[in-house]
Amino acid sequence: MELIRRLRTNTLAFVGAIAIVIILLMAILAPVITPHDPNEVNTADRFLPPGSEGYMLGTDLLGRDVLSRIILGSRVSLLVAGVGVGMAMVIGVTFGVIAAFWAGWFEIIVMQIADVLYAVPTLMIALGVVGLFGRSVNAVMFAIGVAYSPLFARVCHSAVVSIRELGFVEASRAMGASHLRILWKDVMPNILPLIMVQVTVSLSWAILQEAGLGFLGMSVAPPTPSWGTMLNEGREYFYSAPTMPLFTGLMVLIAVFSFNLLGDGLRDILDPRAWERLR
Amino acid sequence: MEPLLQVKNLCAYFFMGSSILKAVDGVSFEIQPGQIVGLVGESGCGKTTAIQCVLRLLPSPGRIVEGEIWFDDKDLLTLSPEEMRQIRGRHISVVLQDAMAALNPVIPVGEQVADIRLAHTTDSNRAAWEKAVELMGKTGIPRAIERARYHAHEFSGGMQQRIVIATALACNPELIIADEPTTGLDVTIQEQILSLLLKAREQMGSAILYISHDFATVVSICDRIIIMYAGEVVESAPTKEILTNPMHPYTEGLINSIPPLGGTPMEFLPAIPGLPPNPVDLPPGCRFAPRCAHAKEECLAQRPQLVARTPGHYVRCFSYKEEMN
Repeated sequence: MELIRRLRTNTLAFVGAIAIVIILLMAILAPVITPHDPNEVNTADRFLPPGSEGYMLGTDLLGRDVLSRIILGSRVSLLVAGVGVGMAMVIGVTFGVIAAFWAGWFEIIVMQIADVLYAVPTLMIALGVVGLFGRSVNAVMFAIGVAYSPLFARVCHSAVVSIRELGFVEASRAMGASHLRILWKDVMPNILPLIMVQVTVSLSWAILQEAGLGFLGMSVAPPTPSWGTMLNEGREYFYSAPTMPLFTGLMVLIAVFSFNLLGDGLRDILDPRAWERLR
Repeated sequence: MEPLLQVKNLCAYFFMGSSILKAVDGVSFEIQPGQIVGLVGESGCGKTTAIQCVLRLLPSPGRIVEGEIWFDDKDLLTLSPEEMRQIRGRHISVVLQDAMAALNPVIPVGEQVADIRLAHTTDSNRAAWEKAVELMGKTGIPRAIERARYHAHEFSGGMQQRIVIATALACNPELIIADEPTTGLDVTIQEQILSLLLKAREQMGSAILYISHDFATVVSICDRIIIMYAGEVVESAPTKEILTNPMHPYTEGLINSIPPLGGTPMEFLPAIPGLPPNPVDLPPGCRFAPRCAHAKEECLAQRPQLVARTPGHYVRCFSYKEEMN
């Protein structure tokens, strides 16, 4: 509650949060709110312009309703981004924090692996994963999870390295707190804002990434729509029917922008030292 | 009476490449139950290293190379890490110098006080919280119920130190180690913090090891004073005795440098000339000899032993060797 109250004082973050809630609702309620069956082919109505009767955003090359496909496509995009980033967060935070807390050979090995992974472009990793497991949503999620985990590991590692030397950690140790208690009560609350910001920013990248992979034909197989695959389909007819990739791209833009706005604002909102100004 | 804490011939060195920094070199002292003992010395004389040894939290590359630390019939240096963890906070607790740094900035202070209870007792979350509020009230924080939910930065320095003291008192420890708890606070607040420590002794019978380089505050609350210089104890005696009859030239220098109250104002306070020796390269004889006005030849050549001048008054100086017993 306190969080929501503080969120409202930060206009940009609040706008971002509202937009994310709307997009999430759209994805959840997709089967109910789509005006047409997103996969219904109607060759008579191909490439209808936006504003045509019954098709607010027009139709694509098979006469399918673009609006309905954008709405349904949000499911794949958000699912891939959410699960992928969630996986990256769990792996990255776990290894990053443990590596920083128990310094030594474990730290060296983990951070070296993270650096190597970080040096490989996400696209290369995705290509490898899709090459191994075939074209599927799971492969894309897995690729994003693997490719983004070094980011979380790096962020958490450097934060914990500086926190573990601070006075209150030393004080906890002097007062007989166990390692687990120090991790849970001293370290985690202090890196939580960093993780939250990293999550929101990564989510926006992951949506773009999914769109990019879809554009290259590596995401879900047709006819299931995703924002990336729709962009890819629209590309070939861009000069004759530009509106379809335009609206899809706009949707990607809105989603990415919203997550970025929220991420930016969260950093201030989650810091108790900044609350005083808001009281 | 059996002493509560007994440190015997403690030596803790820092091994840095080829050089050895002798931070604590043969320190011995005792604390009786309920006694307030002051550990005095200038910065770098090994006070903090000595307490880090007692808590077994000496940072690497420091190592305890010799000595025994007896607490409550247990040699702390032989305990397992888990047994040691249960002693910290529960039986020996600490009040650190910088209260702002000692408190977690993102967790409400009440939770931090409650946490000590959760770590060492079977209290439920609720009971621990109530105990925390009660402790904060006892240490003089007004409206503790409400303010337990505040964060550290919302308190003044004195209030923060009260909260740190509340955490130190949470489990009724037998020994409280206060490491310069009044540094950085103004005198009226210093006074309040000192009386808070005295109250803790009165109500719970805790012994206090009070560490400071501020002779004035030490004199005002301690029963007994230990003077450290360059990693060793140079003099140790009851407070009154040390004030009226200081024996070691270093102690004398310390006492002379306290501004006198009343009398004719002095232009300059007498200061001890020179600097403490480099702990990596200690002089072979008495460590204070290079700065000492009474230094003789033997002082520069041989290291004096800590001897009992009168019962309870120990001094490490050649001037007193013949008068022993």
